[in-house]
Amino acid sequence: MDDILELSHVNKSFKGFALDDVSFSLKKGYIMGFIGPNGAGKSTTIRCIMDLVHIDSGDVRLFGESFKNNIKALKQRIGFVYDQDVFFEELTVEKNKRVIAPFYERWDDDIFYRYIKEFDVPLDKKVKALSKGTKMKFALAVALSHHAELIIMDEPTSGLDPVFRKELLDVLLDVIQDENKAIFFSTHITTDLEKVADYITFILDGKILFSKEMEDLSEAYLLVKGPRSAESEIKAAHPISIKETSLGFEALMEGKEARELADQSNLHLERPNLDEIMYYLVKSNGINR
Amino acid sequence: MYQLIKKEILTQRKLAYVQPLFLLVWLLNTGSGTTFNVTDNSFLPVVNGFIAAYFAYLMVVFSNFGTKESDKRQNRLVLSLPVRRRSVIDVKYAMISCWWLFTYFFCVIFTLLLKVIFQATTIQISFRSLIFSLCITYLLSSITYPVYYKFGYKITQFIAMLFLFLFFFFIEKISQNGIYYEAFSEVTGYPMIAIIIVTVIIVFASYFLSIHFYQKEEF
Repeated sequence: MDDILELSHVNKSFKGFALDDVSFSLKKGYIMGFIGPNGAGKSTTIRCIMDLVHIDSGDVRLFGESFKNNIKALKQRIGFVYDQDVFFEELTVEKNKRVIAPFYERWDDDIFYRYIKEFDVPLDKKVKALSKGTKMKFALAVALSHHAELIIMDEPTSGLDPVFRKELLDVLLDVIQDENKAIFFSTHITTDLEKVADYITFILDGKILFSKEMEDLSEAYLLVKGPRSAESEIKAAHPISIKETSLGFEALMEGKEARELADQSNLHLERPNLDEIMYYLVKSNGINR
Repeated sequence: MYQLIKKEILTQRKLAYVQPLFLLVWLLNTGSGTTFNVTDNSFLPVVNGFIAAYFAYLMVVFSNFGTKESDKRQNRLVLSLPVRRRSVIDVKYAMISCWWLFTYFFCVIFTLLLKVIFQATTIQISFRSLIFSLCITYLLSSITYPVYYKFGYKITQFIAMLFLFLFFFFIEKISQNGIYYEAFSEVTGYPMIAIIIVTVIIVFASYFLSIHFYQKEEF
């Protein structure tokens, strides 16, 4: 059983929004980037995984077990970092640790204080007095201090400076050296994921558009650029989305279809980055944000 | 359970730990003998227990309610830790005794101090007042908790305020030795076992309702 996290046909309806048949899985030893525009359902999916909201149908399996069976024991093996301030704001960092640590059977103070020192988090300051970046560092130290096998992070890099974002990615790469661990990482800063993610799952309007290996993704889509004169030809080839530019046009196409156009000298094929894939897929779904 | 209890104690507001001092103000007042013009002083320990019960109830309120957002965020944290939702409610109800004990302890200490320092004979404590006080704290909390888990903190704050006004209105009325005093004496005059049984039934109903609401809640 290599799947550390598996969502099968998860549905959850709210007023005006629904997660619709969400399915994907994450294997041990990998980092999965969970991307999508704001309001696409990333945080809601994470709340479903953590059993903070109740799914209407489907199943969430953690470490091969349905989370309905033994959520308490399963959560011993999960480290979490949320995008909001969930810690006790009136307490110092040290007191927050004193509240949280006893919940974990495998809590390791040495690891915690090592990260606190490494991240330069002041133990004696109240959480409410910490900057957003420092709060995130503290959350990360907590998530990494109880030998969690699955680290779930909801937008951990948003609002962080590039220096700490780089440090965070280095820590994640260090954690994933242990093949029994996995990291599930939601973000809309896709450049971070390009450096560390093995898999990318894209959610849009509550539906999973794809869940692919990073390498497959760069094969699956291509960006075709060309002059306006070639635009009608490209449109005939059913691009996913097309955009006019000052010099001509840009279109995101399925890799196979794009490669069939490769011999045309006036067209230029490029591998799109995650930002471009996300942009064109959102556009093709007619969603204005 | 132990971890959640520790969390409740560490995250309790500082103001809550200070508020039993207000009991001293009350006891000094009753000790002077000017507050009550009733002839029968035997009910004073019960009134003191009643006051202690309200302060204990305030500790229960302080331990739970912040703002809608902070409540939600704290629940998000707690339920992301390895705990069952049911355990959260178990501890909330168990902690009512703890907050009551803390308040009543101060009530006893202050009472003894006033007796020694001021020879205040009107200040008394009794086993009956102890049980009555604990029951009142549980009853007030039992009304509050299901409302909190169903409707959130705003309505709960309103209820706590309502209790406060009712409480002082009631104390004022019984101090005048009229019909309220007679009603109060009649209730406190019931056999303790009857009061305990009624309390236990209400607390259990409240506990299961709270579990039901909290299990359904989404964060």
